[in-house]
Amino acid sequence: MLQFYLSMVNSGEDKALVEFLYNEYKQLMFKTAYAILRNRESAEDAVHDAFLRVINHLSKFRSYSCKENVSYLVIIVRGIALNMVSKSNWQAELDEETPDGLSVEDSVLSELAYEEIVENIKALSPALRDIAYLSFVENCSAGEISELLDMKINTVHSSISRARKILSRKHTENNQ
Amino acid sequence: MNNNQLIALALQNDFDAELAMYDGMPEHRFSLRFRRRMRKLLGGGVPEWETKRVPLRKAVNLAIITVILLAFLTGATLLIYKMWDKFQLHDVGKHSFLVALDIEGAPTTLEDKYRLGIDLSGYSENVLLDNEYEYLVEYHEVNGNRVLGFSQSIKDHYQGESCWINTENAMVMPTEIIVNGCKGLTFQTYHGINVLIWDCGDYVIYLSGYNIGQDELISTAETVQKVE
Repeated sequence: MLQFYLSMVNSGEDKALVEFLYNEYKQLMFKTAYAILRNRESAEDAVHDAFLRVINHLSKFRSYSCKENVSYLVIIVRGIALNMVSKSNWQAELDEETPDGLSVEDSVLSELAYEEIVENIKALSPALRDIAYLSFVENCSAGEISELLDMKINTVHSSISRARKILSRKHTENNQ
Repeated sequence: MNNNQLIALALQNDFDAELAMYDGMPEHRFSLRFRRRMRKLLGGGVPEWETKRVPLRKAVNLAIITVILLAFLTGATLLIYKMWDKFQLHDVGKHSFLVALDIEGAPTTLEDKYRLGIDLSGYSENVLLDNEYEYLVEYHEVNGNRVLGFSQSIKDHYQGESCWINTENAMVMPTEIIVNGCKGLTFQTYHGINVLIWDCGDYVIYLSGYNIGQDELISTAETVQKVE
């Protein structure tokens, strides 16, 4: 497998890009992973695995801006770290049905206050927050998120829907 | 601005705040195993110095020689940035590395514990490191947006180029400060995080505050004390 990945970094341009990402962001990625795993070795493993994934999707990184690259790297390594903590728990959390059974269209989608959204963000799990970030901020499609985070596309769809519902809640709902 | 744009803005700000916190954390020294694996992964692309374990004293000497040489070649713009009684700060462009000077006789493991003496009941605690060399903890305000970072580490940790701090475009450049009679330095990062680092005698204490003013941070620093 390693050979397969290595063969993908053969061009000088690709190598330069990966080296740049590695030199610039390895510390940030480590800190992100460490904040979750609280173990140096595991955090380093997560950073290594994240780079494997980056290399696998290198074509995407070529077209991104620096700021986008930072976001993706952080989200990828956090996804890997969360998976390492407990893949089953994380996946279960994402797959969990929404509690009220309302569709996105039924939820309150108007007159949301910024402060309410900020409060609602706190209710999102780290995994859901990352998926919401990729969807709302970076405008990634479900397919792209699925590739970046190595998740099933159906899980991504349901996660986006669930995140949107939580983020769109009115404060009065939260307090109930 | 519609809801999707508001959500995007809130998520972006939340994400930026998180990244800003990482800026205030000390840099990690990657293991030899990791660097070897990355070197293999990048097909030998990582510079050799990244993968070789160089003895500490040799690394310090190499760093000093390199800095002096570069300073000479570039018209002395890259010299030691600041030097105080207890610390040297080397500015290397994007970051600076901090070197503790007074390490003679300092413990090589954490024998005593130093902790914050303020009431932290409104904060959630997140211990990021707790080993024989370093203790690092973050306190996140439960009903607010304030974050305190605290670390106690052995002075050996601040040797060579192992301890990098983010001084790039710092809002307040590092200046000397005295905390509880101990000398240290303070600065404010580009993201507005106030940082205090001081030598408490046996150890180096690091305190950072997000959404916490420098005066309040200094008052907080003054509560740091040895605990049983």
